Amino acid sequence: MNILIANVRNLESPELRVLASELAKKHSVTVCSLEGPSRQKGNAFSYSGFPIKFKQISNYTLNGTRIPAYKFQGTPADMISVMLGNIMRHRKPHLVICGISNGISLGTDVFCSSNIGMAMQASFSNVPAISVGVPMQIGGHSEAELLPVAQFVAKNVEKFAKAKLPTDTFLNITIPIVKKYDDYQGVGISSMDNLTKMTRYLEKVDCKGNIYYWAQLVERDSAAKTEISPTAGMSYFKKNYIIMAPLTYNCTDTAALAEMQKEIGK
Amino acid sequence: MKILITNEAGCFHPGIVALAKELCKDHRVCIVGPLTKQVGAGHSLTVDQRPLHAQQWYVLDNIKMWSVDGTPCDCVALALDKLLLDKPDLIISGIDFVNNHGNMIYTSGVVSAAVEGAIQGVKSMALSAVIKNEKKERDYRAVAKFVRRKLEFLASKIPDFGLLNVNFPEKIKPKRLMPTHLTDGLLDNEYEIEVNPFGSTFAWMKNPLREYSLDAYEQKGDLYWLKQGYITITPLKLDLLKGEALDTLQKAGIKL
Repeated sequence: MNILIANVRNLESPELRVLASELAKKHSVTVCSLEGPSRQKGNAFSYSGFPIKFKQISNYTLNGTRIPAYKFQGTPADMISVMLGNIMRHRKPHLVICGISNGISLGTDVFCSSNIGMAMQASFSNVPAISVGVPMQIGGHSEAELLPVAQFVAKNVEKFAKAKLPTDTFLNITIPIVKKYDDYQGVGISSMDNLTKMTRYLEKVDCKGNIYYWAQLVERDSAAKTEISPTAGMSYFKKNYIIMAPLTYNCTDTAALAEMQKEIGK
Repeated sequence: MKILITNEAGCFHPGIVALAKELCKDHRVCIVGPLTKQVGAGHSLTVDQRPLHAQQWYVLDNIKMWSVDGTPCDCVALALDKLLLDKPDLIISGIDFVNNHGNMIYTSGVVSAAVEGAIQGVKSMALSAVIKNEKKERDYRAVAKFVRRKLEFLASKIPDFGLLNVNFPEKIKPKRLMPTHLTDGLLDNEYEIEVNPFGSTFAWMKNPLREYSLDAYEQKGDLYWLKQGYITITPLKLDLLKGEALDTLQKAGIKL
């Protein structure tokens, strides 16, 4: 299979290298990554009149084999858009894998997540896409910690591509960090939508007396008080289950729309 | 009502000013907008790159105005957490000078700011129009007047755990109002590759407005009705889980 792996950290990050190494054993892999800050960019695009700078890295190797690799300056959505709309336009990948992201996206976090934004861009182009995330650790995880994650993705990669999900759907896969592959307890399909995060600000004053604000992501007030339901994805996740959620970009509220059409029709 | 207005084109942009001037006739209005143009900012948040600064301006009588050196979503989140004394009853994002329909909503800072408002539990709507001259305040007045007249009606249509996306055609006929769904079928962006004198490669987007496939019009969604001259109203939800795909996924046989 022809697979595009996209990452928002950098081409040398363990998150990208370990995943690409596992997949390159059996598949034709192309990798791309951003340079510079790229957390919480959602689906942002560089429309501001500036072009997107990118570079093909000719000597990028994995397991001793040269792999096509590109690094970008721009937003995560820019990168997918240039890859699918130009560089791979006539050789579209069978699957786009976004990740491994150092951080997971639950509930409404998906709107600002860079990793989800990339998977969504790919599914706009009708290419099956998955977003893979692991719990965040400052500084990131080591290759050894990420190996079981990559092994799970590599084992099921053909099933992800051929899952026959609706065209407006992509997969959000949340994987716990375990010591070895056998520690995984199973694979669950669930939403995990009760543990979303909110943006709050820390107010500070600089040496000139100006106020500035640092953003921080905190648990939603109500969710923090809610006990995790034993059937929710998160409770299984904590027991080392891998959780998959099919997400759609078609977010029309059909129930509200039907009601509105009835009323306005009158 | 206490109304917070934001946008993506900047807090001094004529679209936001026209709307604020009209709504302040009946309501308590506050503007918190980005300091600079943030077109295509989507739901991007300024988190670990740098801190945010907010500045108060005294430009319009009776209307408090703040600029934030961030994205539209930063503006909403910071306004609700730190800048506003009271939680607003309604957040309105706009008036954008181009329509935000179909899958383009995810790239739009205007719609994303309303999404952020809805996430934070405030009733929110996004307004986008086709404006002849985006720099002329009077070109936004027809939309602003319509919104003022229909505000209670529009606010009552905002779904729980969701928001309203309202698009205006070039010529507004108040009775031509169409509740409809988002259009699917965005085509890939096309890029032109350029190598600069220093040997660096750049991709220029050929058309800044993404286009839809031909069959997108046949879906009779927001794109179609806008072309027919209707004001479109689309209720959006925040839960992106695709329930119908759960069974298909189960059958895919993904396992350890």
